[in-house]
Amino acid sequence: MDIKTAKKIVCEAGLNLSQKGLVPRTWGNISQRIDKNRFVITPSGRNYNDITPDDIVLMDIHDLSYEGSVKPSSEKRLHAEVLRNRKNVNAVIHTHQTHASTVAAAKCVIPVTDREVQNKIGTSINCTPNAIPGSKKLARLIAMALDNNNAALIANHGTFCAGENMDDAFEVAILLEKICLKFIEDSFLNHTGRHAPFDIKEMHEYYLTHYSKR
Amino acid sequence: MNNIEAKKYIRKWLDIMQETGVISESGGCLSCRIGNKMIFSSINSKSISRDPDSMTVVDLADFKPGKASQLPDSYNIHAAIYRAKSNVNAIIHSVQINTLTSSKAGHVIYPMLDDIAQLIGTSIYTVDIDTSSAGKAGKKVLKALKWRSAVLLEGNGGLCLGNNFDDAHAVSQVLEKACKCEIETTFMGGGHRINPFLAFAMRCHYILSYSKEAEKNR
Repeated sequence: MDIKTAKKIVCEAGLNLSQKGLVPRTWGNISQRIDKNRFVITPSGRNYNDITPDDIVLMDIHDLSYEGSVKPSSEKRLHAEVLRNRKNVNAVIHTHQTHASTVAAAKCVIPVTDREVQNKIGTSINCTPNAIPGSKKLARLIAMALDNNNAALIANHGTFCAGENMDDAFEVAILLEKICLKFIEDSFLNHTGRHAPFDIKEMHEYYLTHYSKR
Repeated sequence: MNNIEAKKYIRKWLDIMQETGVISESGGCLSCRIGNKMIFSSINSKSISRDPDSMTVVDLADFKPGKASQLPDSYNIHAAIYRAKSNVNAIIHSVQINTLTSSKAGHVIYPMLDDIAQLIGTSIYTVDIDTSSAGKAGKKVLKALKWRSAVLLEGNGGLCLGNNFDDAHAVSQVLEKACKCEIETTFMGGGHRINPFLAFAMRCHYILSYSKEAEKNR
């Protein structure tokens, strides 16, 4: 893939991510592989609504050196680690989507049993142990949690979604959010011994009745 | 920005906040600082008024809590925050579902996600303002806001502070996420809090460095 096309893909994906509510403001980041030695990634701290393809940063996948004056995302190391380890992955999205982040706060692992979902995500959605954001340790843990799957949860942080191309990675992120919502709903129903359908008002009333301090 | 422009600015954000569910027909409000004045989107019991003429302009220098008795109670608290915190120019009173439930539950919420530690701080307190006089309520809220950008008002949602409405809106989104984690992880065996020292370091890094990145990194 040429650099110009990759930067355009990342820029459009950023807007799409923001519009779909998967990342508020500047959180989360996106990368696209160019070849076995290079990838492009979103810049640090910038709002997706005001970046252009020129703001997307070209990076070396091995030594993390970058071109130009715009600083790459502080999570660049995590993207590089996944792109180095998974030759079949060309696009990576890191999001702070709400349902998946909630499950990541509880450090739960979600087994995937549906055959169709397994084809897109893999057999399990694992969660990393704690590590400092952007650190080498976290990069290693994410690669381990991803294993051969396309989605992983980052404890106390968010999610990592991978795909053969950006559309696939996007599909994984959206599917992951749906799976995590279902996991939250099932957790409530199992915890309380209630039967489906899930009702959010009922969950809040139950919480206030049983767990309120007042 | 003059008062008329400021009222239009608030009206624009009232629409955005209602569309995104941060405020509702029956609750929540906005205010902003323009120079040494505060403009407050007044509310009535049934719906949020969008009429710019119904918005209240207050001179912050002369304001004494309790002076404007016909205004909503939270009016005093907004004014107290503007007087005490020079970097705050916009406040959103959020009544999103998880924020509202957490404000009723009354727990101190500790961050379980790093964006919560960065944007809000090391904890989110719930303040009981109903039984306090206007002056005391302001003091309680300010104490709970030390090094923090959001506070829950008991049974009444939360206040989200920002340098502008865009910042305050981001705080309201993160506050909602913090409350969602607190509630929903209860049914997953409990959530895992971030180490308080690490949370404090994240907050400091955000205030001193990352929040300025958008302007610097061009």
